[in-house]
Amino acid sequence: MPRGAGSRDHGYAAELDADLGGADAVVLDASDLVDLHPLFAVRLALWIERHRRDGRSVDIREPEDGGTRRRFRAFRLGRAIGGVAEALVEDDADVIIRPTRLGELTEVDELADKLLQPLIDQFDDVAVVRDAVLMAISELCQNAVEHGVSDAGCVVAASRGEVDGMSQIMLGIGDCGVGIPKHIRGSHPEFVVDEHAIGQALQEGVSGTQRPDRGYGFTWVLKETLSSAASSAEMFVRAGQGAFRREIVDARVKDHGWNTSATQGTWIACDWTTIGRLDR
Amino acid sequence: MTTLENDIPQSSASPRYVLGRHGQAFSTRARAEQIRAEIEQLAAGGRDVLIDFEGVRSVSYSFADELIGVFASRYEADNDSLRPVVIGLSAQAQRVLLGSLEQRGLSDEVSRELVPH
Repeated sequence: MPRGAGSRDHGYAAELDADLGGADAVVLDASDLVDLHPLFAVRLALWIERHRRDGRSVDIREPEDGGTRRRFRAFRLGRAIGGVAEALVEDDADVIIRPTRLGELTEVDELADKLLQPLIDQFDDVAVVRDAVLMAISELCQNAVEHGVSDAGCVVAASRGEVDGMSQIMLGIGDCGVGIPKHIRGSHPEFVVDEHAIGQALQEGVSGTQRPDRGYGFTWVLKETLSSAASSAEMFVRAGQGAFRREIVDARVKDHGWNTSATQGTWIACDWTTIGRLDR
Repeated sequence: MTTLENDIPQSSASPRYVLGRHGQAFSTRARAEQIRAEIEQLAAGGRDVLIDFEGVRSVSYSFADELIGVFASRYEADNDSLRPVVIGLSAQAQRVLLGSLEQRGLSDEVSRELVPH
């Protein structure tokens, strides 16, 4: 991993997706990694799992940077991806949820219910945006479990941090399914360009299903973000050959999509920044 | 001024479903479908049912729409069907529930009848 690769943009998707053919051993050299967004932790956890499942040994070289190494360990990237029972982390290197597999819809409800009280009790600086965080987990993980359709299920992780003296909560959600563009084209074949398809999926009432009551999940993540105490927020989505960024600053929404290298699945990062603290 | 109590069905026989007994946060349509079936069973063919959100701190749009939105659409289409009256809402839950009813195009009259606000 080149230095700086820990950002949510994970510009190394092609390398991580690569088929290593007959190799029987791989090395994850994270020694130069600085910072570790939960979306990148999800990506690495799935990469490690894939190679182990294919019978390869995986040699992991941990980050040399102290803070990044603590976070790398708190995410338990050397271990198998856990279930909801092991999801929550009690104040370890600011990790809130370690990479956790949600294979059934009941597990989405279970995770949101389990997260609510610890979020309030242990992370009161970011708990002021909990309605937006829980809406994102509920709607986006539900989408991934319902529409992602892969053996890997939906994998989610979260952590907190500080940016310019403000608190930040970061969420990463990944699945190895068909990806948003292909799914959305099931009912909207006109969205042929992937970043356009992702951008449309973020609009109200646009769904890959034929049902008129669907397609409101992303909109409600935005609505709850706008209703929250977030100073700013950002959603990043990558799927197929498209990437899309939605920035929210001072209640203004700015969308931007672009073409990028192809990747399998759908990868979503949501970050909320706040100066608020929970008024108990 | 209308009080919350005056908006609640007057029949003391109206069954009450206490959602908070099942958790503080509710996320998926699948969970809502399960709870809707439990409420229909509780109502046992009666007309009114109280759905008490006291203690519920977070509901997703999908959950609210699949639980209350579906009930409300049926009630607006057929006033003889089960009438769910929602009480004990947090500000977050009220915001999301009303958003669901608005998206479904329900009248203000029905929205106020089912979700007193």
